[in-house]
Amino acid sequence: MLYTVMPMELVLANNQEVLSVEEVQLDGVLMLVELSERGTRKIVRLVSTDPQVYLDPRFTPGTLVPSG
Amino acid sequence: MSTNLSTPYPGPGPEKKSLDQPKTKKIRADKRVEAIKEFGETQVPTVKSNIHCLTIIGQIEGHLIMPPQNKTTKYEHVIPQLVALEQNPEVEGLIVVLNTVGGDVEAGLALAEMLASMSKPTISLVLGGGHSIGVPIAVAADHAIIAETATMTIHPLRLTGLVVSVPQTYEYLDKMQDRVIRFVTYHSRVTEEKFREMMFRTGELARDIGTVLVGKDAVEVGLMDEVGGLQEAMRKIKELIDERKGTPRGVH
Repeated sequence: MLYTVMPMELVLANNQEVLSVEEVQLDGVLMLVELSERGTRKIVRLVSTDPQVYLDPRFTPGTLVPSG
Repeated sequence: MSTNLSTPYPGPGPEKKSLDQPKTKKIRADKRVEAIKEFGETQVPTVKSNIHCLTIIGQIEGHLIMPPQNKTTKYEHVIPQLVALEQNPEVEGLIVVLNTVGGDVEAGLALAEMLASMSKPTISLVLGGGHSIGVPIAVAADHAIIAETATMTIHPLRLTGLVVSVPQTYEYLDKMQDRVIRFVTYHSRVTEEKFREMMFRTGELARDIGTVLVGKDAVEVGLMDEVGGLQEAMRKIKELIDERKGTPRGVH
């Protein structure tokens, strides 16, 4: 349930995209990355149980990761 | 090869070539062993702050992924961050900066409860906006500061999508709303009566019922503790840290 001041038509405007995610390991950290059409991979979120990796700015959601 | 000396976190950066004195070399060697033991890496963080800063912005994303035009706070990332901060002995205090339009109720309450149950001193600083579910998050901190121009909108929860018009729907909505009201009244000086009155006030919002509180209005009703900005936040967090340590203020 959304509890927000933003009007719903604005929030839910471009809602057709479905993320194609894959699980990769980078530097020993397991994470979900999203593959875009252009081939770039972007971190969606971390799947690690070590809390310290969540403080590492290299693994912030939204960061692009090198492919391969 | 240059190294960014202000990087606060360890990372696989290039090894720094230097003309170290032997004494500095020994200190760096000790720190390196410590770094290996603690982080599993050899790069020594050169600047470490005992006060960490967490930002909560945009929509608080919960069970559904928001379409891309929304800026979001991923609560599943923030929660382990809070765990890390609670665990890490070097971190003594946390400032949470808010500029949010609200978002998922359960994710927001999850963040609020995590923040409220931290043992270390926490300060929330509402800049810009702390609307809707941002209100519980803001009051969850030990001390809540709001900027003079920041606003907090208090309004009822709304059901979106298919609404089944039976009495149970209303009761469900009421229960959801009660969760939020209970949390806010428990963690701030506002009374339940006053909070409900603000929630259902007519005439203030263009598309809804509710109240817009600007800066000191939020302090006057008892929701926030202080009007201020960065320096008030820094001053207060240091005060809370010193209190926790039992150090008299001004003496180190």
